[in-house]
Amino acid sequence: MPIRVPRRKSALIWSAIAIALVPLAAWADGPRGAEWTSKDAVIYLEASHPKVLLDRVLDPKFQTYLASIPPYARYLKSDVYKEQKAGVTFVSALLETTWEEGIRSLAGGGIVFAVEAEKGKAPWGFIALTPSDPAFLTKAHAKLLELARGDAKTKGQPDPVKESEHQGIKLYSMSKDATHAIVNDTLIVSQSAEAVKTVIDRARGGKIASIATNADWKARHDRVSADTVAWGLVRLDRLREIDPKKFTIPEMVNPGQTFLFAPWIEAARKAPWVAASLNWSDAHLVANVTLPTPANGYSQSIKTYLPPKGMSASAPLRPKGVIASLSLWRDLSAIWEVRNDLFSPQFVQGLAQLDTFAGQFFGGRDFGSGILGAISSNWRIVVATQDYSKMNPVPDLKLPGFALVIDLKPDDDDFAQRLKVAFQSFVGLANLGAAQAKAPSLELISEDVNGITIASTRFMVSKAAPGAKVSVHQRHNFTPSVAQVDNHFILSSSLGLIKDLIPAVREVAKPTDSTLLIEAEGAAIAGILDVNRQRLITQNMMEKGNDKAAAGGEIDLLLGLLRYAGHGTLTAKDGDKAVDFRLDFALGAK
Amino acid sequence: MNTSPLLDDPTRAWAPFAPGAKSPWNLARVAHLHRRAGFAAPWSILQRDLKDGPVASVDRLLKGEATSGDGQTADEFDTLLDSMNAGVGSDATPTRLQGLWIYRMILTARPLRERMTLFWHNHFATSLTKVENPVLMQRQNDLLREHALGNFQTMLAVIGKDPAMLVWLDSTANRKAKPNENYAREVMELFTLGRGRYTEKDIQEAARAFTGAFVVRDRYSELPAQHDDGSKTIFGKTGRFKPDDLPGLLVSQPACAEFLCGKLYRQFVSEVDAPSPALIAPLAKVFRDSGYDISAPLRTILRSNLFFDDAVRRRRVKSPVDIAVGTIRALEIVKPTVSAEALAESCGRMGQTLYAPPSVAGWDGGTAWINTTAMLNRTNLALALLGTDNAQIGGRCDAKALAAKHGVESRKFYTDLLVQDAFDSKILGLVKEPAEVATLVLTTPEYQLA
Repeated sequence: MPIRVPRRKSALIWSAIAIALVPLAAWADGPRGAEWTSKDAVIYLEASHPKVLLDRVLDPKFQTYLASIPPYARYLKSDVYKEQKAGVTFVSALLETTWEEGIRSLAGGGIVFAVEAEKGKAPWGFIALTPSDPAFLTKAHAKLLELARGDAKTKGQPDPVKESEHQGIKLYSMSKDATHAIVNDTLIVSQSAEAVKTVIDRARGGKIASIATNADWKARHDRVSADTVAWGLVRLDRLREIDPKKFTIPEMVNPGQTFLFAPWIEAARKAPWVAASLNWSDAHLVANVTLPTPANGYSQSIKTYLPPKGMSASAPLRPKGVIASLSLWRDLSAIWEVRNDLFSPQFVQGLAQLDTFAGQFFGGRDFGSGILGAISSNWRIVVATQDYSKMNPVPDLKLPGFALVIDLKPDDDDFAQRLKVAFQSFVGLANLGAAQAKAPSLELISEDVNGITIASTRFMVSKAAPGAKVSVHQRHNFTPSVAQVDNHFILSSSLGLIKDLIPAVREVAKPTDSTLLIEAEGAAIAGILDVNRQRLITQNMMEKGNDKAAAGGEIDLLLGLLRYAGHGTLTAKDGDKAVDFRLDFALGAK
Repeated sequence: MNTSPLLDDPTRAWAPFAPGAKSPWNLARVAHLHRRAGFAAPWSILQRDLKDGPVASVDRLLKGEATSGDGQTADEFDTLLDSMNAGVGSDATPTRLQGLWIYRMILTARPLRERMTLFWHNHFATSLTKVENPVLMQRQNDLLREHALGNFQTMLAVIGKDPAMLVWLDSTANRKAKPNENYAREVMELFTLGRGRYTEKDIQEAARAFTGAFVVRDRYSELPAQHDDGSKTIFGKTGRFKPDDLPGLLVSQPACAEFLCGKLYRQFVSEVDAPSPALIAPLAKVFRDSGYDISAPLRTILRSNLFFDDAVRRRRVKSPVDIAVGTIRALEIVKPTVSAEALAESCGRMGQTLYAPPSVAGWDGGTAWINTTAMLNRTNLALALLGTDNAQIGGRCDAKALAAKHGVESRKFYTDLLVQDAFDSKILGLVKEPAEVATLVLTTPEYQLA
């Protein structure tokens, strides 16, 4: 079958080169490159198994989702894409292969991307593509050079490829920002000829303490498994040394971040490196990030955030209709005691007001010891769908319910009662404010479920004129409620959720090895969005200017992506040597 | 500035326009018709109407196009937008209300109806800032649209029972013992007769007729026990008048048709040249003779010699909504169109926040639309529409492709599409890049005029 040569040949050839070489930084199996990277390199990224990544990316299901993402869909329809595709197809045909097989042959051995830097000097880096078929690399390279030169010749332009030689290896420069060479059957691409020469020198026996001699690198490298598609190591100590202003985390960050993430911020501030990996199998997409803990340990105030040996967050609660569930180990009472060391004086002053204010609701108890001290270190938050069909009235905008579950220490008998009274006081205050603002008030109600008394509230419903179509405010999603179940105290935005939580909190909480666990159900999130579909479509039309069909398409895509993402889990584990974060998506099959 | 001699010749002024050698049916006239009666039109509509002539063009505006901007039929689009309006809840933001209306203005197949809905929104000016109830405001907007080209007496009757209007005018409780004069005063002064065409006694007696009218649970209701059932004398007529009798009494006043036709004249003909009573009188007669059918004087105006006279072109300053919606319609930014909510906010920055006119008298209009800040915001809107920086508004118009699609050189295309005879495309000089050409035209003083 004759090959049809596209008219805009030069553009196509360059597109083919660009597509075939540069973006391949995404793929990499036992790749070469580490041995030519200095042990002091600031960034080392490795696509260990490009074939696996390619299989995942080209999976029809994934492609369908990808093609539905508006910017990517626009790219697929663009002239640029068509031109690039034609170029790649053209070049692939010349090489008697397909573009997919071509990529597998060119980069199937893996890809390494490294950046080295020294203070006061411009950083430099290189990409090393290890082919699975070195002969194909040589052939493809020669063909691309031939095409580029032939194209220039037909246009009467000078040779676009400048050749030079170093240690008997040819270097090719196609622009002032890109030079490449084939070194030991590996394609090296860098931004300058000097950089490529440095790599050649190292490959030709130049003395170098390579990153492969680094124990941290080796530890990470040894963890690469068959489904690890990429991993990397970034030297934070080197970055801080090279540009302290840009890469040093200040001692005081904002109070919210300190309150939530203090030990992890501390680790990031002092860690010499951070490592990450991405594993992708049929059923799971898993990202891991590891930060070493400070060499000299955490400061005393930060240690209050860390669970003592044998302690950890309990397993997240999973009541009926759960959308997301969080479980956190935090000794707030201990943190309260060291607040002066953690927060700015202004913020500590604000906390003093909280102390006074909270005392009024809790019989004059001290906020730190009397209130926070009465609560154990297990904090659990749950978000769940509600049974909207049972609501009266049914709100136009349907929102999920939220609940906070705390465990009360056994030696403080009347604290649960204090919490209930505080809840009633808050309701009273809210009603006072509502009366002043002519807003609907909350009615206090009580309900017994399986021997548990739930103190609940509901918004008063305005009487509508007979036959009138009335809009129902989103406030009717909320029926704020509290209940005590054994030593657990539940504060919920919804009576329904608190009923569903009663059996769940009665089950003995399973211990974990993490400080933080967050779970989210993609299908459940999609479900709550789906019940508000009409409103979301209106919102999309108003905010993006789409027509109804296009808006509906975008909502369907979002729902599809959420269902594809399946069950997501984020964990943070505070170990002696390192903090490990893990984000795991059990990919949905629906 | 030339003044039309037709202003002094009512018979010729309102006689139907017949194109001739001296006053041909040309692009300037077609575009003028769409600017005033709609919100500007895209190139293909201008070319079609140029071919079809004034009668067919005006009739089509009165009747509406068959297809809306999103490709649905006119009725399908209206049904969709009506259902979206019905979905407005008490928690809807002002921006959502404004966005829904702007979206309809951009894509509607019935631009004259939306133009008139906006006209009545300014006439029966009611603001969300005081009403504080988006559902009531949306219902009022639906009412204005329903009656925009219908019968004025009917519209007046429904507005008199509109909860948003009554909340706005503090008339939610009209008790027999203490008649509330607010609505009675505004309905005479601002809605029907104009100042000096009624007496204080008329207001007091009309307020008595309006007793018993309440807004209860966001609905209009009449409480017979609170109605003053005694005899009242309004405009010299005596009877035991009730709320429903007021519209009839008001439109029976000759001043009513004259007052309203004066406002229609300012909207559609000129806000610079004050009309003489003699000029308005024939128009008012048409209105009265039709039984207060709003489309009757409108048809007369839009078909008239005066409307198409060169001297009345650009005798109005475009309002921010005219600028925003008209530009988008002309530039065919419809699939997708811009973020209607972002555009509504842009209109607010230019001085026109829909659903929030500054007072019971509506927006001042005219030169009040133009000041340094407003001009800067008009320029920013033009730059945003033709640029790519603003994700909510920009990146949707390819100025080069649009001119190429219609096969016209860009300088000529954007001059003819947007300002026609206001200036010669040659003055655009060396500017060649279509987006720059379009931006330049959109920011000219001429483009700010309707």
